[in-house]
Amino acid sequence: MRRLIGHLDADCFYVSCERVRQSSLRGKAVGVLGNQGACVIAKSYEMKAAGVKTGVPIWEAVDLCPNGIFIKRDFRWYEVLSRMMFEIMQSVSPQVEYYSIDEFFFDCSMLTQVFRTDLEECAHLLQERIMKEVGVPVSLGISRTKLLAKLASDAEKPFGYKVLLSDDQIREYLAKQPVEELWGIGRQNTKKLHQYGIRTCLQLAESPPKLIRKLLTIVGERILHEINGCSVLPIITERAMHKNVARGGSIGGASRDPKKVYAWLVRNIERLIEALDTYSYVCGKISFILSFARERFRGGREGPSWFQAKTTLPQQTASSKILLPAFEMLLYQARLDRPVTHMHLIASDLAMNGREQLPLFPFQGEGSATAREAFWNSGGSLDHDALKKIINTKFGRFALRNAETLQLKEMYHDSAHSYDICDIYGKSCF
Amino acid sequence: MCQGVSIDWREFLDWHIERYRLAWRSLTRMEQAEREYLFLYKQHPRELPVWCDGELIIAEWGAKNRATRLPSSGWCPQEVLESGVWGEWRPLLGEIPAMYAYDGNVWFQVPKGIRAVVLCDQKNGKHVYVLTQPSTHYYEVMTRQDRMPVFIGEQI
Repeated sequence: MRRLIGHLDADCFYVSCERVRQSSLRGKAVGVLGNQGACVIAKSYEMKAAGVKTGVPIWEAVDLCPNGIFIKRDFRWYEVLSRMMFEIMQSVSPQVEYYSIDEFFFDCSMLTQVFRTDLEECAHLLQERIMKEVGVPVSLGISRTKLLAKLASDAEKPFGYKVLLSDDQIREYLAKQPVEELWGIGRQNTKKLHQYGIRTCLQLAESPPKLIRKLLTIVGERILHEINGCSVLPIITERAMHKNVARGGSIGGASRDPKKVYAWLVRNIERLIEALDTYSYVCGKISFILSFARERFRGGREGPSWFQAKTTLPQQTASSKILLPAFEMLLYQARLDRPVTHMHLIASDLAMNGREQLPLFPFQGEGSATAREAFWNSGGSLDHDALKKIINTKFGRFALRNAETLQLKEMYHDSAHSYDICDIYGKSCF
Repeated sequence: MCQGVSIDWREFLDWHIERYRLAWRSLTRMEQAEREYLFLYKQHPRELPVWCDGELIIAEWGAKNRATRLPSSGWCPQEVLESGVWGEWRPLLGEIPAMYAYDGNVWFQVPKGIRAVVLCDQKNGKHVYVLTQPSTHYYEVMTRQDRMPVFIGEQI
């Protein structure tokens, strides 16, 4: 028997989570705002109908939807409900991929045994169960491959389900779906496909593999196999090793104050080190990106809106003793002549901690020889990163942090800042 | 500063609706949505519901009539209250059971309610003032206002 794959996707997940704890929000246009209160990061279908798109500034959203209600995001709560959904999925399937906070791929082979009915009814019963136990509406797609399952669940939103099994069913369905609806086909790829007259998923499925490989590389070829019902993308139950780990984002309002920018650098380094530690990684290379507010120079020329620099570390590490001075050096290369809006720190050349290439000449930073020696000989036990971890595990995240971040007291007063989407671990998407 | 609040219909008994003539304040944002009662500063009569001394009353928002000699605006800065300037009016603390609040053209969800100050005039008429504090960064970006209400429990 052919293996079937399901894709479960929560409908307007953040808003649905808010509606679980505040039922009066049901039936109303609701927008969830990012941490700075400036942008809509999620919206209800009612707000979408008013023309509000994800990512728009709040003032635009208010113009389009004056009666809409705006809520501050709460990733801790969203994670609670996401884990509840994950548990339910694990109870009905032997293999579940926690793809993102609101999306799961799963093996459907046990579904008919669990619910003791046919697949269509199983999909409906699973929807009902999640609605009853978690309170979040979900859409479901079941088919032969991950891509077909995702296409089906996306197209049936909201609170719909679709089972695509036979060749005829799949072909009929693909003929109705525009090619840009496919997972992995972005704007540029859509343009390329349109140039060759490929507008529907069925036209793509019937295209010569050579052409698709030429247009969309090997990724496109995988898509082609998947939409033709040949499964090449496995369900990932354990996350593969990252290529990069990144932390950063908005710095809470444009600023050219060097102290504030430096404070954000230190905070982001602390977050990056925490992430590396959680995954048990060390990194050998780092990149640093600053985005600037657009400002016209005299004479009408517009300068670049970003600064990027990278460096190779003296050894693979996850220690602030090496990462902090290395990132400082990259920051000093940037000219803060325009207000900074965003900052991103990226760690690459990753290895599992303890399996990294040892350096021939270990890094020797500033400080007395005795202290350095003690640090290296202690195997990290004297490292203040380790001490910080022990204290923060006991007293809460960021309870002990670098004093340079005192500049950001406004942000630390707001507990919502201490938990972000990237702090939800175990997802396979990033 | 907070320009209005919306109250869940469950907060009021039929008795409140009749006594304070609240029916006209009833609002349904969308067809499927639940009913709310709207209280905006620009509306007349200018009123706010407030829990004070264990009962939910609808009181005048600020004091329009100068003869009362009470502050005419509808807001009380927390710093001013703490400095004791309002002491002569013997302020009582109250709670506005707001579900949503309106400021800077934005409707936003209120976690548990808003703190208020209730003053009595010479005729024992009650007047309610929204307690305010400096805006957090989030609030300031969201509403573009430099003062925000003092929320009960979690701040936004």
